[in-house]
Amino acid sequence: MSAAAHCLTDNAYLADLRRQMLKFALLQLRDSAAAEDAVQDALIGAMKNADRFAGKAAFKSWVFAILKHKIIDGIRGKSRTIAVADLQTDPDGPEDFSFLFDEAEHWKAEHAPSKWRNPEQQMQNGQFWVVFEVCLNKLPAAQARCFMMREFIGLDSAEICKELALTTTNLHVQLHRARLSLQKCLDGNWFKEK
Amino acid sequence: MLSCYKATVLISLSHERPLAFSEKLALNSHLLLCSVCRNFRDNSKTLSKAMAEFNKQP
Repeated sequence: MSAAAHCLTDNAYLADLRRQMLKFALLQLRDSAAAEDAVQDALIGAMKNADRFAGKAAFKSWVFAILKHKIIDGIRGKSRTIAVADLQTDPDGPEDFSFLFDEAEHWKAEHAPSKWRNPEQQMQNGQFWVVFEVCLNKLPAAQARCFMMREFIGLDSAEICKELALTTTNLHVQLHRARLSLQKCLDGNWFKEK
Repeated sequence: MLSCYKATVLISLSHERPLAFSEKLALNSHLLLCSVCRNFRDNSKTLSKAMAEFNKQP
């Protein structure tokens, strides 16, 4: 039995992997039934070829690669309705974030980003990741999807635009908003508390 | 002089593509004077690192 095939008989390992995959899929699909389906499909696909993989790390990255494709298929199926709807309720320009900026488009003092102290050290703290995930979940669906595909899956702009049928400008607007929202959330709920 | 809002747009854009010379010039002269936008720039980098770490969390 190869090391990867061995992974699939290790129940604790498998449960842990499944949980990570589900979290990953749920953040992007925003639909627990669709996320369960994608994870299930990816795991079944992985089992078929488990013998080809030498170790746990290789197996894991491969399972996530399959899951990524399942998610993109799932998004592609409904991207036009969801992404377009989100974009329409999200007008371009600073008025969307007017609560952060004054009329001259400068930061309002109470919303100005603070200097984050020792971020590497914060990332060692399990509680930080709980807050981080809450902040990701608070993002509007279109922003979260663009941001996850860009920064978590690591697709480049051209690929994301193609998958989500967005213009480059629209994508950049979504990513900018995601960065503003996430910083605001982490700033208020974690870094300013420290 | 660039507004803070526009500075944050350019900072975000710099994660997606290399900025043009004129964009860099405008952003850097803003950042020289604006510590809040420097925080936003540094925090954006931290955010990218955190996203890369996020998958490794149990």
